[in-house]
Parts: sequence; structure tokens; C-alpha cells
Amino acid sequence: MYYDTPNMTIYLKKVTRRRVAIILVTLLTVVASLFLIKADIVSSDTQFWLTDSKELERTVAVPLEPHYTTKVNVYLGDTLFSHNKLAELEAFDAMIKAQKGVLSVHSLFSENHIYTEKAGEGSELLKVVNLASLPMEEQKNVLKRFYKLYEHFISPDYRRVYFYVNSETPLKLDASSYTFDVEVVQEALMDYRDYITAYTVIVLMLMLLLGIVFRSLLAPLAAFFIVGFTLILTIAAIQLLLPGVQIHIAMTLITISISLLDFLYIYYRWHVNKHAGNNNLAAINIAMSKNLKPAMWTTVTTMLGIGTLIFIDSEIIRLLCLSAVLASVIAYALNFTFLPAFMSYFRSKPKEVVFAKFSRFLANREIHYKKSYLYMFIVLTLTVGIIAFYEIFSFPSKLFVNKDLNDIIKLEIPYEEIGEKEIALQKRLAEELKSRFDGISGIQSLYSTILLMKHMEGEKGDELSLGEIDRYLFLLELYRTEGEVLGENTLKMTVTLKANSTQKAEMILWIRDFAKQQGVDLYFIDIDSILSIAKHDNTVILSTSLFFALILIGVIMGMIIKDMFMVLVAFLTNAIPIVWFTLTMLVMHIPISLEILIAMTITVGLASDATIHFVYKYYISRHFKHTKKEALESVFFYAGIPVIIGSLYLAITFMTLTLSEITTLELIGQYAGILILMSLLTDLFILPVLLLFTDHFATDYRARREKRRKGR
Amino acid sequence: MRKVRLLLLILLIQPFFIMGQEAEHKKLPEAELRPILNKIKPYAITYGEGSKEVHVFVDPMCTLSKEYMKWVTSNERLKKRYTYYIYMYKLKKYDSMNLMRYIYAQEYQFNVLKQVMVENALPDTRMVKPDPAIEKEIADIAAAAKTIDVYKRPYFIILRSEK
Repeated sequence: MYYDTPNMTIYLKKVTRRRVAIILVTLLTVVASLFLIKADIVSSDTQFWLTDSKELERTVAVPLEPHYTTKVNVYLGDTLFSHNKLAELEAFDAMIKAQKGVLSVHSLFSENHIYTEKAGEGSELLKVVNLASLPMEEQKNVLKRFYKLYEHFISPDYRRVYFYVNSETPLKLDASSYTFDVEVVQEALMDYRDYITAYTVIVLMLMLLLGIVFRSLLAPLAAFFIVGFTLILTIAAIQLLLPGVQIHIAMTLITISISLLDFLYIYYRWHVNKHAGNNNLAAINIAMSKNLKPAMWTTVTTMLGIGTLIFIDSEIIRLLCLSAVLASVIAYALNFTFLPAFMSYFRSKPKEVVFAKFSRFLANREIHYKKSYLYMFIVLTLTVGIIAFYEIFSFPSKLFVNKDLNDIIKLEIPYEEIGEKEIALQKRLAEELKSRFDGISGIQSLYSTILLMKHMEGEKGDELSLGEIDRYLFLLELYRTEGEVLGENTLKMTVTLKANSTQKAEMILWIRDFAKQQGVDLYFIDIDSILSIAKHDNTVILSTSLFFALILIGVIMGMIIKDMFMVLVAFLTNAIPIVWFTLTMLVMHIPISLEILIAMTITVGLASDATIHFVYKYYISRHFKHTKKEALESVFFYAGIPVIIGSLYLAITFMTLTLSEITTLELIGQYAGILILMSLLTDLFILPVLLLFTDHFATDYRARREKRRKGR
Repeated sequence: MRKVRLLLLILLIQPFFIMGQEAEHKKLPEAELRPILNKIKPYAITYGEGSKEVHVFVDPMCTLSKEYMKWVTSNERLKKRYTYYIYMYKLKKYDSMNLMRYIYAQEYQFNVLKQVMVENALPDTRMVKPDPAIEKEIADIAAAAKTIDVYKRPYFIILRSEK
């Protein structure tokens, strides 16, 4: 039962006797693991999502070649038509095209100018010429007259020019030799210096914060060893289990978070017992024996709760869960082998922990909680949860709005012969898109080009006869200017969105549904759109899995304590931060991303650990006939403070990461920081109240005794 | 007197109204076009081996017709997909009748047409004598062009191969 404390004296004696061997074996295993690790840590989640993408598989099977489309903003500082800027920009365009892996560049220089040339009465010809081939003055006139046609490529004041680069791999551009400023709008990727900086920040913060809180060097040193060893062993284990897999930086952050909290529960218990006057071995004994079972159950809960997600057909989720599960198991093993062996060398008396008084204050306040407030909060949370769930299932696209890296959707529709049916489909798609979404700036297709040619020839109307289609298509091919709208047996369509439009993901989904309804084979060609679909396809299954993981954690808790109320307590404690955060995501249009999944995984990991430690302490206290208040004090003192220290460290460290210019680190920092703080608040203010609320111990033993005594 | 002035004014401004209105051009459906073009097809100078037909009316002296022909002859890809039926149809402003007679009189008409229109090698056509057969060809083409309403040069129509 939960209240049985194991006797670890003999085990610890053996550990102390063989401490040199234990430390050496651990060190050797860590060093050996270091050789196993392939230093292949990545910061981009693109490849992870694409690995699972059915849409990508479909596109490649056609076969079509999906590519990355990167927007390049050029800030000229002057207008396009002054001081050789045009010539310099042309050189820049040529330089991009010469880059390895660049397939094509869509810009002002690739655009056509359609016009009717007349040479006296009865002599006229519709021409399609490359805009860049015109003399400068003529280009100026064309831009002035037909600016709307070129607005995706140049700002109204001609001082900013935009290029859309299609490439096989993410674009790498060095534009330092140009007189203008160039901004490549893409996900900033981490290089080795960024990794070193990030991990240095994590270690320094660990040293600083634990050093300040425990006022000793031992705490940060022991934490450094446990967290560092867990990290190395976890990565090695993942690479051993899944050879060739890349390690995302976020997986290392999950490992650090879980192992640090596991360590803190044990170290803190040793610290307070040693401070209370126990000798070193006795303090280690108490810390170990009091934490052996709850720590074991946290590991089991992580394994069964989060671990079940491993079976989801998604590499990202599999890797995240594997990181959490392995970190939990490895940290548990190290905390009960290496840690006591290491700690046995340190005999000096530690100083008091500054948070101790705070725990008594919290217990005093929360014992007098108001039930009505709790009901209100739970009802509110459940309502928010239902709304969030409804929104996720009804409009999953709201949750995966992409980072607005580029404002383009590129698709291709295979054809056997171009005729009225094919052009009508493009027309219908364009018209419906424009009527449904106000965020569209323009749609380029064979239909739009042919229609423009028709209008430039002085013809009216939006309908195109087969004769007209053939005629204008022939002219496009005659001038060799069909490349933008016609592929090898495919019709190309490019949807350009207005700046800062947040409708891209929704549009992509709508286009996919439209194609299904019309029975048309339509393929997305740009990686960004394919990525959106991959995220969408995973969102619903992920949310469902997370929901069941939370229920499972609750059920395991109920089984451990043998109290079915615990199912609800554990479920609510884990769900509250996630539910409120999901609401924030929906309200603020924060897109779902790997960073958020990491943050949620960390939160579930930490919240389930905290729940078990809190519940264990509370139930043991109550079992041994302590009053509710005493039990609450025990909870805050033995479990609350490690949670506060660990959560604050993680939140501060993650918040520090938001200062990074690397998007991934910035986002993980932001989301994990917020979620950890939400989780901490839930642990400190909701979980204890829920424990009081569901307290089934029939009598508050001492309180009744006191009352009886007073009555006499 | 006033009435006369008003009448004069109307007469004066009338051309501006007429100029401002673009002439409506006839657009014959394919079913009507095909027999007309089939009738003059034997007179056409042909080029290319594709399944789709490009029926094009040019004046050999028209600068834009020449430009068009330059594009046509330089695009090998289209040559495989289209067969060009080139008809010479005179524009009022050019004195191209003798040049047309000269080209039609040649054995390898396309080569000469290319020399004239693409390479700008103008032959001496002062001595060209009208040949009744060629005159008939030119007249038939002109009649067909009028029926189709070939209002500009180059003027082209694309026809898919008959199923």
C-alpha cells in the first residue's frame, strides 16, 4: 500500500560500500554512450512533420517535385529606378538562380508584360514579353499603369522588392555584398554556436538558481551530474532503439525538465533531513525510502500515460514520448544508484531552504478554501475544455496556422488535354476562393493569364471559348512564357495572400476539400502547404491521444491510491494547464507546432509527477492520523518546495531562451515557460484544494480529539 | 442659318464618334470556320507537322506579320505540335500584291516566304506577271478572309484535328 515505506538501510549500506564502483560504472556508461551519440541535433521540425506526411507521399507518387518556397525581401533604400539599383537587382536575381538547389525564382524579373502592339491600320499583334527585357523607362510605365498585376513583387513606393525562390532544399543565401538590405524570410536554423549558447544558459541557470536556493555547491553539482547523465543516456538509448533518427533540441529539453524534477524531490528531502540534524547516511536513507515508491509510480505513470502515445503513427510524437519515458526511467535509475553513492561523500550540514516558511503560509491559507470558488473554477475549466475540444474537432485549422513565413500556396492539377473543362475548373476554384477568403491578394493560373490576354486584346467578358483558350495558349507557348502557369502535363496555380493573412491553413484545407468534392486530382507543391496538411492530419489524433493519456494518468493514480476520486483529481490537475493554454492558443491564433507539443509533454510529465508526490505525501499524512492542515503542510514542505524550485528554474530558463533569435528556441521558451508556470499554479492552488475536497478520511482525528477535550 | 451651323457641327464631330466606337468583329463558330478554311487549305503555305492546325493570315510586308513569323520559325517545339497553314492576304496600306504573286509562284514557297519575312531578303518583284491560277488563289483567300472577318494581320485561328 502507499503508506508502506520500504526499508532501504541494507540497500544503502551496499551502495555506500560500493560507491566507487557505482560511480565508475556510471561514468563509464556515460562515456561509452557519448561515443554512441551521433551529434545530429536539429532545431527545425519540418522534416519530422514531412516524414509522416501522406500529402507529400501523394505528390511524390504522381510524380511531382515538391519544393521549398522562400520569400526574400529586398529593401533597396532608394527607388528601383535610381542609381543603378535595377542593374544591381538583376545581378542579385541572377545570383539567386545560380545557387545550388534553386529551381526557379518568381519575381518582377520573371513576370510578363502582356500588351497589343499596333503598327498602323490593320496591323496588330498581342505580345507577351518578359518585363525585364523592356527598357527601363518602359518598365517604369508598365509598373505605373498595371501596378495591381505586379504588387506581389514590389511595394507601391518601389523601395521594396520581393522574390519567391523555389528550391529543392531550404534556401541558403549570402547577400552581404549588395548595397541593399536582404531579408530571407525563413525559419532561423541553429548552428553549433547557438546550441552551445543554449546549453550554457541552461547549465549556468541551473548552477545559479540551485546555488542560491540551497546555498551550497552540492545541489547544482549533483543536479548537473544527474541531469547531464540522464540526457546523454537518453539520447544514446533513443539512437540505439531508433537508429538514424535525428534528435530535436526540444527532446533534450524534455529530458532535462523531467530528470531535474525527479532529482529535486530526492535531493530536497536529503537536504531538509540533513539540516534537521540527521547524519548523512540517515538523511540519504530517509530521502531514498520516502521517495522510492512515489518516484517509481511517477515513472510508471509516465511510461503508461505518455508512453502509450508511442504507438501513434507519427514520428514526432513517438520521439517526444520516447524521450519522456526514457528520461523518466533513466533518471529514476540514476537517482537510486549514482545519487546516493555520490551524496555519501558530502557530510557538511546544509543551510535552511528559504521557501520553507512559504509552505506553511500556503497551507494556512488553503485550508480555509471556499467550496463555491472551487466549483466555479472546475465548471469554468470544464466549459473551456469542452469549447476548446469542440473547436479543435470542428475547425482543426485554427490550431495549425503556419508561421507566416511565406504568403503563397502553390498547387498543380494534372491534365491530359487543356480544354474548357480544365479552364472552367481553375476559374471556379479561383472565384470560390476569392469569395470565401478576404486574405487573397491574387491568383495566378492559366485561366487568369488567358483572361488577361483576352482583355489586353480589347475583348470583353470572363468566359473563354475553346477557340480562345487554344489561341492564347498557343501565343503563350509561342513566346515561351507559359512556364509560370503550365508544367509538364500539369496546370499550375499560385495563390498569393495578403501580408499578415492568417487564413493560409484554412485555405489549404478548403482547397483540398474542394478537390475531393469535384473529384479532381490536385496536388500541393510547396513544402509549407504540405506541412500545414501534415499538421492538420495529426492535430485531431494528437488531441484525442493527449486526452486519453490524461485519463490514463488519472486511472493509474486511482489504482495506486485505491481511491477512484484520485482519477478525477489527477485528470483535472494535468488537464487544467493544458485546457487554459489551448484556450489561449485559440483566442490568440497561436499555431500548433512541435514547440507547443514539447511544452505540453513537459507539462504533462511534470504535472503527473507533482500529482503523485503531492497525493502520496497527503495520503500518508492522513493515514497516520494527521489533521488536514498538517497533511497540507507536509505536502507543501516535502513536495511543494521541490516543485516550486524546479518549476521556477525551468520557467526562468525557458523564458531566458525566448531571448534567442532562433524561432524554435524562442517558441519553446515562451510556451513551455507559460505552461510550466500554469502547471505550478495548478499544483500549488488547485491540487491541494482538490485533495482537501476529496478527502475521504472519515474523521479529522486530532481536530476531533481537540474538540472533544474542549467540550469536557 | 442656325440650322445649317448645327448640321455642320454634327457633320464635323461625327467622325470622332465613329472613331471612338470599336468595330464589332465577326466570330464564326468552328463548325462554320472549318469548311471555309478547308476550301482554301490547298492554297496555304504549310509548315510544321503537328496535329493541331494554325491557320494564319499574313501580309508579307507587314512588320508585325514578319515578327510573328520569326517567332513561329524559331520555335521548334511548336513545329512538332502544330501544322501552320499560312495564307497571304494583303493589307490595304502595303503594296504587297507582286510580292505575294512572286512567293506563290515559287516551288518551295515556305523557304521563300521565310527569306522574305524572317530574313528580310526582298526579291525584285517588278517583273512579276499575274498568273490566272495564282490570281484565283489570292482571290479565293481574300474572299474566305472577308467571310471570316480577318480584320488584322497577322490573324490566326487554331483548329483541333477533326475527331
